[in-house]
Amino acid sequence: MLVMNLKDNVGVLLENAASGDSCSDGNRDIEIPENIEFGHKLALMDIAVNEPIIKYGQEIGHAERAIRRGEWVHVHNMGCRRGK
Amino acid sequence: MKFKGYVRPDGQVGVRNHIGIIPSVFCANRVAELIAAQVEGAVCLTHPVGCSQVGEDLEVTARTLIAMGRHPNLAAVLVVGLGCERFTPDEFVKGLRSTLKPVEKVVIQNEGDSLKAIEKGVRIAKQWAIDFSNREKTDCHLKELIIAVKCGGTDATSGIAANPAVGVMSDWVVDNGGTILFSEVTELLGAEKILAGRAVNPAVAEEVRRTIAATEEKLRRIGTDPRFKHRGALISTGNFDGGVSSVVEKALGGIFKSGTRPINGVVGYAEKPPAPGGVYLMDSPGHDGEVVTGFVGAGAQIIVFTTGRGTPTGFPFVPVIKVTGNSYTYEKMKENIDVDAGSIISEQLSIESKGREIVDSLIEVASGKKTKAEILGHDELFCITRV
Repeated sequence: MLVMNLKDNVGVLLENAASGDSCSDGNRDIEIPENIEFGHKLALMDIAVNEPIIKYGQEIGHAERAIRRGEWVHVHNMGCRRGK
Repeated sequence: MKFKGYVRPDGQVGVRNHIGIIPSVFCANRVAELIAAQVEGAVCLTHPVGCSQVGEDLEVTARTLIAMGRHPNLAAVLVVGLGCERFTPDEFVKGLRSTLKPVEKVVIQNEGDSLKAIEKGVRIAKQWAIDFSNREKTDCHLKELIIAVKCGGTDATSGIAANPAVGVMSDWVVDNGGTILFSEVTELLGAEKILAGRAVNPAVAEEVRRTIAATEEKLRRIGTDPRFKHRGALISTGNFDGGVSSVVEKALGGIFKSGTRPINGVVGYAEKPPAPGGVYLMDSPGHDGEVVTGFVGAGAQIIVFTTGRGTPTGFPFVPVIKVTGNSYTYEKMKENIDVDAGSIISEQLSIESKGREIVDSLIEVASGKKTKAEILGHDELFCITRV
């Protein structure tokens, strides 16, 4: 997994992950509760509704529902108000 | 370091030596195609415009077509007209005069019919092909290079591997006196703070912010009809499948390819930067063909194009170097992609060393080595933007 910036609350998977796999955020293991594809993001921590999703040290959108640490973060649980 | 280029009569430097066959109006497309098909090294630029347009829309078309003809990768230009079009063949030819390169026109209604126009055009272009076949290349300074960077078919690897590696190349080009163009303003939403921070002065910072805000406002105006809400996403399904979740995420990953050097200014669509050297933002939407055509109009001799999902496209007379950050894509589309930057992810190769590899590739292509898109004849990216 790759974390682009220390401020980020999501990381990018560098290979496909299956439900039950785990990866490390450098300090602790993160349990992955679902299949996540290579290149997609997972939450490094619990993220509450409407809290920003941070990648590259910048806000790329917001949580549309509560997201648990290890969960896949994508268009099903993340929104973005720009470009609409 | 130098590259081998073609110095044109007006001092511009080309990296290719094609003959351009350019219709002034879509009605002349077929004649232009058939002329180009008969002559080695000739390229045809068919398009759907040139008449029944008004105002700024017609001006952008005229400016872009003239800019194509003026481009230094073209040794000579044959304008093919119909005769009654709004963007007249004479206006087109006049716009090319100051390049001092050979320019002729064939007008279908003046010749009598399309067959006669084809015959005349082939005879002119064939003679040029003979005359230019032994034209020599000379050592040229890197400050002559205008390189444009673009992404298409983005996935999550674009922002972590391909674009950062291309960014290393961009810094190298600028440090050696060359010019970098970037654009895709529809895909810069959310990156304005970083980009404005790179501007050489507060006026340019303001122009960067204004350019992005104007595009966002235009998108808001055309995207508010609830009937079309399902088509409202600014990024494509392939981007989503590849793990990119929002236009801001795409923007932040996309701007890496323009490097880190100061932004000298903003130029209009298909407009040349005012002076050589430095980084310029060109105001254009993100459509691959429209933006690449705008870059070529602004003088780019080579396009460096990153693609995570993989795309085979090319431009009729400007080499397009394809770089992917996704090794799976490279394995699948080796015949279309020139540089695999996926080893940054799979083998933890440094972004710096991959960037240097792209620089080497750039210099080779500038000196004449053909890209995969050129070899396979890909020419889809000529596409003039509409207002």
